[in-house]
Amino acid sequence: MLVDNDEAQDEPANGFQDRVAEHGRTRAVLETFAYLPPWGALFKKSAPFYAESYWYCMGGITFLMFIYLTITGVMLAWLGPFWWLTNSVGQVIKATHYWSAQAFFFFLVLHLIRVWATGAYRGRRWLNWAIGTVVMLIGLGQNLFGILARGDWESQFVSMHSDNMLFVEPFFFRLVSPANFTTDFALHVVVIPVIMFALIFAHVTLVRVQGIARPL
Amino acid sequence: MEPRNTLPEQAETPDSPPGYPVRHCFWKYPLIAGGLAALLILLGFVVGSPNTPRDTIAGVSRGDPGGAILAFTQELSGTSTSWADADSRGMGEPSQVFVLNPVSDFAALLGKAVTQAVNTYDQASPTQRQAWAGAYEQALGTITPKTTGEAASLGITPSPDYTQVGSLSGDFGPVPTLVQADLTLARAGHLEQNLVGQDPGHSLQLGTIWLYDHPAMLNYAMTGGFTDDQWGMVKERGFSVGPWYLIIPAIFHVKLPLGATGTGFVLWNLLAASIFLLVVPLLPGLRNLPRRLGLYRFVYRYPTRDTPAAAGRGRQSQATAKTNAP
Repeated sequence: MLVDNDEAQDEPANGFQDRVAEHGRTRAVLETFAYLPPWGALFKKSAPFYAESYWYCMGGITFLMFIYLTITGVMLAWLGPFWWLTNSVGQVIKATHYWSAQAFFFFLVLHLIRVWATGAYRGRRWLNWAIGTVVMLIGLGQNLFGILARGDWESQFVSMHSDNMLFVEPFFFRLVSPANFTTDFALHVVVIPVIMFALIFAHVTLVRVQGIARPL
Repeated sequence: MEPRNTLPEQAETPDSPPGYPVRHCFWKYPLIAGGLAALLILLGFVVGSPNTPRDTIAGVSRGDPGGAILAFTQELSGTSTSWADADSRGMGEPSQVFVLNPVSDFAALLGKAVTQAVNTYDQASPTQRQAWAGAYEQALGTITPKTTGEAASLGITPSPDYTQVGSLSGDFGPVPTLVQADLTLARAGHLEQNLVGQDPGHSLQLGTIWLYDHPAMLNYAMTGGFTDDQWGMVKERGFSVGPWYLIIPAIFHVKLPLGATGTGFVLWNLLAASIFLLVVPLLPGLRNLPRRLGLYRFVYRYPTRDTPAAAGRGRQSQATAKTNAP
């Protein structure tokens, strides 16, 4: 639920006691995260009435899934393929990473539907629509390199099959070979996540600057 | 203050919801974040994720030695899959990488006959080598069972009958000795180690490339429906939930003209990306489709009799409400 930036004076006071007085202690405690670093700068403190809907949470939850993917991904990269393929804890972390990716795309699609259905791509917001689309496309590529980096049978087969179809085409300038596990792993763990994070940061910043689109 | 985001097409509609601000609306986020984290960990624990053990050269060579013999022979004759992409992968000739280098490295342990075979092959002309390997590959075809029925329609590549390999006769030169020696290394696991040692900076690359030369991997994939033209892009081996979000690229690959080629597939995807980027948000008519369809009615929050906002809760001021009203 990111908020309308049309009216700068809409920003309410951040005092905890004010919030307790307005909505009660439980709700005030739960939303404290939105008033503390690093999230404090990310969230405005009010939203238009029409946007106080779960549909408007989908982008934020997609970003949350990206954070979960990062956390589980760092654990997996730290302890390595032998751990995630053979250790029972490693397998659960790997599976959580897998389901986080499923959830990432699930909520991304819902976010996309919401943005389209509310026409929130018009005017200056087209730039943010474009950034979001690029994030989605890179995310699909990240999924491919994730499969390649997994280290199981599917990784072996897809690496050779996609290699034969895509990466020997002159179109790609023969930059990488998916049959190379080291390359797949580096792209999946370092290169693409950094690019995605930068784009998501720009995406969220633009939402913060432009605010929520007005109703159709 | 005039709203800064008002656009010409943003005319007021009869069902426009109120736009006055609601304060402090983030309290659900920690609950959603915690709930989703718990759900994902639970799914990871209970359902797991795809984890079919990887093929190994030793396992495949033990399970289907005839296929391994065929792969080694095709690597020598220049007809294996690995020859097609050898340059783009920065690897040497598959005949050297998969057969001659490993066998030469282990020749002293494999016996005098193998050492002699390596020397004979090294001293032969390229034409002679090609003739030996080609003749042996042709001979292997005579002991390869024909595929019938569904296997034939899928394009399954059968392996030569290994029990009959010893009965083949012809001008094969040292090729049978070389491929038998390589099979011995492969079954013992030494070939895989040798390939990793040949290219330690590219972990597992050579081993995987060899496994794709062996008929077993692609045959299994085709039998299980995992190749791209079988919608394999959205499937996982041994797991019911695959990458469903790749359904659009999968449709391009399976259904559209030239989608099965690398260039065609890329161009179809670029076209789709361009439509997403440019046509949907910018094309007159199409960009106003959401307004005409009215799906936003299911997205916006509207006040109800029980809505606190409708009763005035959350309003900052009447002036703000008027300003923000669409």
